[in-house]
Amino acid sequence: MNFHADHAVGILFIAVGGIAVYLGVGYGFGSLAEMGPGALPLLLGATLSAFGVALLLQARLAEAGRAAIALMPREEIRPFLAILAALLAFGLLIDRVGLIPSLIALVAIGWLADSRGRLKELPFLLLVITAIVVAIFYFGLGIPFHLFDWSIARA
Amino acid sequence: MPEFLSSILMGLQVAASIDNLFYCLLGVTLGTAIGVLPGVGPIITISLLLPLTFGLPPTGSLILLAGIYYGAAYGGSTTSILLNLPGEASSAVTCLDGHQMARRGRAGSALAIAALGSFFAGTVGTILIAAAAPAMASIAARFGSAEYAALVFCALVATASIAKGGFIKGIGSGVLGVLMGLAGADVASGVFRFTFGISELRDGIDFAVLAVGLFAVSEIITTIGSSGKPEVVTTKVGRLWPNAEEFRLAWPAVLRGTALGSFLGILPGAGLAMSSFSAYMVEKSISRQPERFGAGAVEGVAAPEAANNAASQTAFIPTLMLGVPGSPVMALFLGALMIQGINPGPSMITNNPDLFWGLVGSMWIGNLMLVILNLPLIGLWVKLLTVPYQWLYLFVLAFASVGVYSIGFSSLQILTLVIFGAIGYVLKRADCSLAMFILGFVLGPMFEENFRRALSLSRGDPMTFINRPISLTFVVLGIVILLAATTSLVKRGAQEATD
Repeated sequence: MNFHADHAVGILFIAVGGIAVYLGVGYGFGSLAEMGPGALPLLLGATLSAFGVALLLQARLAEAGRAAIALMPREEIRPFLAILAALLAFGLLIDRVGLIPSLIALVAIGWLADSRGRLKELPFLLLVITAIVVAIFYFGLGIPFHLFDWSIARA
Repeated sequence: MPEFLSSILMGLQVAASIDNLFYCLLGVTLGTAIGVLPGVGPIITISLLLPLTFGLPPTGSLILLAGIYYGAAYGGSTTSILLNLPGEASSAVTCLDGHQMARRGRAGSALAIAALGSFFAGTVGTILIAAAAPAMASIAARFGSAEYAALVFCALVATASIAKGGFIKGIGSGVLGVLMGLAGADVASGVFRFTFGISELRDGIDFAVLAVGLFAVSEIITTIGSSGKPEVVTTKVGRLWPNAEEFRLAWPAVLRGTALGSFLGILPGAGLAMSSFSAYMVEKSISRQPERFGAGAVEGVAAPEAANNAASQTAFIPTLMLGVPGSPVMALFLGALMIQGINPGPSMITNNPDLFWGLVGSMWIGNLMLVILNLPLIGLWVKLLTVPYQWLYLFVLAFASVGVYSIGFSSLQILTLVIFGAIGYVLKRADCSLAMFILGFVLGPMFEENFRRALSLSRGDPMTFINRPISLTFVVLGIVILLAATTSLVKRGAQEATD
């Protein structure tokens, strides 16, 4: 049995549903007339888990016939990793070094996502995108970002 | 003068203020641009701009977002006709005959028919919203908690039954969305749910962050993975004015398209793509020469374009008046309203008449701007297509992260963005409906509140949902759809097992 997209979603449904039921019990169901905060998490969590099981069964039945959808086709592994890494880098840097260095890191890592990108375009993109975004948010909307911030002590 | 006419006049006044005209122009210009660009649609653009609407006045921000929405429906038709490239799913049908007309040297005429037909349909749609408002408000005023809970149930089930990827995945994504929507402080008891001890989650998951992650991030990943370079074919636009024969064929088709689109726009889950597609099928089946379709039939451009614009307007009716959105874009819209602290629903028209009628007025002005923007400036829009996606996605990514960070100046928002980007990607890969997820997220808290209140009013008697006629209608409708969807599922499953 190959692991494909349907299995991933089935497991996601079961897991999230399970967590919702578990936490829902803790929050308390209450009674029908006076439902507690846990009532809907419990009911919906159980429903979602059931859908997850149904999806896994369906995927099993379909296995023989249809071609399964791969969870991640090979050509999407690179963009998946690079885009999420770029966002993470931005998130880690923004509080520590300020807006401009974080944007540069974001664009540079994000640029790796597309294997067809040309290296000589990168400096141009870094400059233009950083300039436009800073112009829109910092100057245009007046949001008080620290453009550069080397005082790492600031939390 | 009928009351709604004076209301429209009031709305036009609000919309014609300098500020609001500016937001409207900005919206339709952005909308047209993204409608032309393949790979960036109204859902992504509206998600990206949500963080920025915090600072705008409510009326201005809604006018801006609405302009993007119907502007994109317009812009999509330009590239369909000239380049056979649908910018939006809803304009895919326009490619069939529009591009054929262009190849026969009638591009200008096709563009003019699309623009004028859309303008007509948009005008009718706007009038319908204005006319329906008082009636809808009086119906909705009779809605109690039981009715709202039943309506949300029915809307979610109906939308799931036509979701791509099948019913289980559709309804599952919806329930997943509802659960995520419940995170944060429980309104009734004040208990913090699903916060895992993280204080930033006490207000719940931020709608703008969720929308950007789910739609923009996942879309970038899949588009990079699949995109070849779009082939840019330049076509001569030619004379812009249709000839007498084309006019004669076009106008009845525009009328039919408008009627069909107006109706489908109100239904939950139907959406723009469905209305333009149905309008095309209707034209083809009633035509005396169906063989002309696909070879440059004027009706094949006029009807779908009218239908998708009419639908894009009437979709606002359930969203604004009941607070129940029928499509993901409308769910985003509802989110934008809530960000502004406005509760959509029948009371909105009476409490915020400026906002409601100003928005309606701006739609008509916006549609007029689109005709003016689109026809003479077509050359400019086509140039936009030469911007490579490699540059575009980096800009979208940068814009998204800075916008999301600016909401709460917390890097936890970025982490949330990454998580929802990954969830969105997996759901998208498995053909689960992201639309259902966002609908569930928006409608979840509303469902919970009304469901609990209805039961507490009836002292725990679940018959309250059945004893009331409006509520009963929704419950029965929902269950019928549910049964129909599951039986067809079981049948298909059995068939696959024996194959």
